[in-house]
Amino acid sequence: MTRLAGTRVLGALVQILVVTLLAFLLFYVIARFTGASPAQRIAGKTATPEQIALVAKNLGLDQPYWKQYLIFLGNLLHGNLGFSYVQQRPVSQIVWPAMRATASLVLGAALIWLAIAIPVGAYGGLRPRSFGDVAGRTLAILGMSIPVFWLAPVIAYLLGYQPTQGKLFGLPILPVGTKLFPIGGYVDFGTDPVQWAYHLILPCITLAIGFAAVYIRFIRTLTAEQLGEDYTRTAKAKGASTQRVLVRHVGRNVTPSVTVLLGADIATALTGVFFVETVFAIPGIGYTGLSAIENLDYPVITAVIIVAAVIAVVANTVVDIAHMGLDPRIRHVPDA
Amino acid sequence: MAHSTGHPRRVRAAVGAVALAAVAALLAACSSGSTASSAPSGSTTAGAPKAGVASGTLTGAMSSGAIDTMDPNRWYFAVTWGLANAMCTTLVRYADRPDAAGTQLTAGTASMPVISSNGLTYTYTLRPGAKFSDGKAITGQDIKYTFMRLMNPAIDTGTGYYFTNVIGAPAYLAGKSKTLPGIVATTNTVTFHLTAPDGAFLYKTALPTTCPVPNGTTMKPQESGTLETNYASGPYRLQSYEPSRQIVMVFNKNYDQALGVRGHVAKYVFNIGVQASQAALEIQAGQLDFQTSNLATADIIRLSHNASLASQVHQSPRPETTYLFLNNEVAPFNNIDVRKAVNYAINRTAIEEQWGGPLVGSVSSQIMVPGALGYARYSAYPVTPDLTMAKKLMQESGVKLPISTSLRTQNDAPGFMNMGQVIKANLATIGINVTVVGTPNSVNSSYISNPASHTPMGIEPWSLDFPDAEALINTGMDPATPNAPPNLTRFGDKAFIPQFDAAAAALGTHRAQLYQQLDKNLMYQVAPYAPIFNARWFDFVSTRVGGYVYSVAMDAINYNTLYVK
Repeated sequence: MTRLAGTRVLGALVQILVVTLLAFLLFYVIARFTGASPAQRIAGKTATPEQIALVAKNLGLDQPYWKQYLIFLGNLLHGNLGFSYVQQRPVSQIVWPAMRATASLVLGAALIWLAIAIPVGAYGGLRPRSFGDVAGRTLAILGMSIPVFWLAPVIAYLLGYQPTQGKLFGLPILPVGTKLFPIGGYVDFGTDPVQWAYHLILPCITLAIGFAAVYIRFIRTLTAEQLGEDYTRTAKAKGASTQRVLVRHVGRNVTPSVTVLLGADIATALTGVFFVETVFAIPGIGYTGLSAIENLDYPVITAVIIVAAVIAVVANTVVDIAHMGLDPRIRHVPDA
Repeated sequence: MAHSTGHPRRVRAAVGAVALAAVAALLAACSSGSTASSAPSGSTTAGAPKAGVASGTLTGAMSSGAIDTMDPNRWYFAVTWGLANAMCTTLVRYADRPDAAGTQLTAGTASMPVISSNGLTYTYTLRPGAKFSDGKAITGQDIKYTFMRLMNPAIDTGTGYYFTNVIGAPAYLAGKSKTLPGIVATTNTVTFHLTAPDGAFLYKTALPTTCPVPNGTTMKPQESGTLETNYASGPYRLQSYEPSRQIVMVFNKNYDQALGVRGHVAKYVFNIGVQASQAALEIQAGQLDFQTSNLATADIIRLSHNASLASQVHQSPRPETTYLFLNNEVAPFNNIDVRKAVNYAINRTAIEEQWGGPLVGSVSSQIMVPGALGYARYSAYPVTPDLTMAKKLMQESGVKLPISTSLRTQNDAPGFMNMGQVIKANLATIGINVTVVGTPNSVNSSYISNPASHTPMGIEPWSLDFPDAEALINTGMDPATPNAPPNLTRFGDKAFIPQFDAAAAALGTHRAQLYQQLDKNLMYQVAPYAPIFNARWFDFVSTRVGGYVYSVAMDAINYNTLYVK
């Protein structure tokens, strides 16, 4: 297993290197030919060509591309993500706080979607075609069908705005001025943990719904499969309770698969929460990337891509290694 | 069936306690007061505010791209100019009055200048009480250094060009000289010596980029906000700035109200990254006080039709024109008859409906904008298509039809792509087939500003830097510099240079007359582009906001007049 894990880590490093090259090519080379010019953006709308050239020189954009890439790679190897053209400060000071905000959102959503999906999916697998199972599957299909860019503003409207007008889901049953949830905004955990959690409730629910739908179906299918296996029938025959069978037997076989999916989904969610962050005004990595694109802040855009790629690669690597740990069958595969 | 083992009562009790704690925390959060990033707070102040008394907090929202820079000698976006109006007192400044009255100049850090009879010398005397927020008096040397800083090639974002007439400025702007002999300073005066008369010079010394900074400030861009924190000269100073997150502005206790009674709110909190539609909801819900973005058409219609919100809605003119630029160097728009045909063919009313209709704009077929010196309303072309005339001009042009071309516009703000589609349909009727190309504003703006891109046409809004025709006509289409970035039409008809120069040098009523005539000459004779409409500002604020004034000159909310009701 050690050799397998080592190979996996080495492969991850190569993947990250390839991503940095592609990210650099995308924004520093290709963008150049679309006419997008960060030097023009920074120099100003009425700047003369001479002023623009001076800004380009100050930013190092007049250097050959290969030289720019080597400088960029050298900085990266020293943990330096570069310097923001627009904000004139290290990119790391921009990206890491954004990552914390996104991580809050995604991990909070993950807790919610697991809290929903595990009992609903397990029940569906345990009682197939029951009323609860059908209801769970119907809600799951609904959750998978609704796009997040529609869901986010609707949830903000229904649970953030309408209560202030005295309504709950359209029904006039609340006092006017009720503050149920904030419509948007973010508070750092360090500033006020209670407000941090309060402001994340709606965004986390929004993000969790789609994932919960997927996990309900996934856990239901896995649970139903495992309950049909010989070992579960044996356990029941030996007098094990339903709860013991589900937790001690079925759970052990379902957990590795759910863990793999969770790792991949958290990595995906970390990089794809853009809509939720935009609607709820959360200054996370998606919002930071969009803001950087609006301002042609290439170092920040590149850093966001690299960070997202690193997270995806690391998450998948960790999950693969964790899977080896959870599943003895993989752990004991003889080394070639 | 066997029951689960363990200690069910203790487990249930523990779960119950956790649930109760969670509910208690939620209720505490629900009923808690304002936070740094959401609900507004502060005491209410009933009635008109007293001079020098600032109280309460107002919370506003900005979009994510609203701030271009926090260096006071570099800022250029309308939102940052609104902040500049609060944190800076320029030599002269605009009156805190609504509509056209707000374009009148009044004394700022200095009294109104003494202008020599030949118009070549402007002498400003600094007023007692003009101080930075650290308490130090603003001197003539500080002012001279400020102008040198804003014109320094490492700092300049384009407004340095406005001071080209200052003796020594061309060499200084080009980085070929380290001195600026045309500005002479003593402790309490600063004198500008010009190479030629400049009828808009007074307005130029009110530009937000002339925000005073101390003598010796570094000639490198300062984006952290330290200059506005320590050396503000207006009723407000910056307390904190988190890029892309939040700006907090507080009342400047060292601002002398003798310079002008301004500033009635103790603190402004700006949350960055809030979409306009969400901001409108938050204002209605009482969780926000104001916002700084253009509202979406759907929100404008919703809010304007709600009678209960009438007192919270404000409309103001803006120093703005939205136009269809036509590249005078690229076929087919290098043909005057084709450009005139376009002006006859487009449906200005229908295009303006895509922006929001009469609530937020008025159609126009002239260059100048309402409220700016040099404006006199006339219609060079119809607001709805005259296809007979348009087709006749296309025939006279001799251009072979059909023609294929492209129109570039931004696609990340509401209305622009829809306006492009209307223009596409209009021009198809006269044999011009248009492909609409939309890109984010950051890409579109830098692309179309590059002469090498040879962009045939596009939709572009232009806000005047100061309420004078020079800020639009000379800045935007000087025929002596067809490749200048703002000259999107690449207008380079040399025959018009004398008219441009004469108007820019003229003063007072004569200046207005020359620009009015130039406007007509351009549109009737060569039609360099197709004006579409002049946008108006539609704003929605909370019930706590009093003293609302939209600064036409700054094209932003005037934070110096607001108070908390």
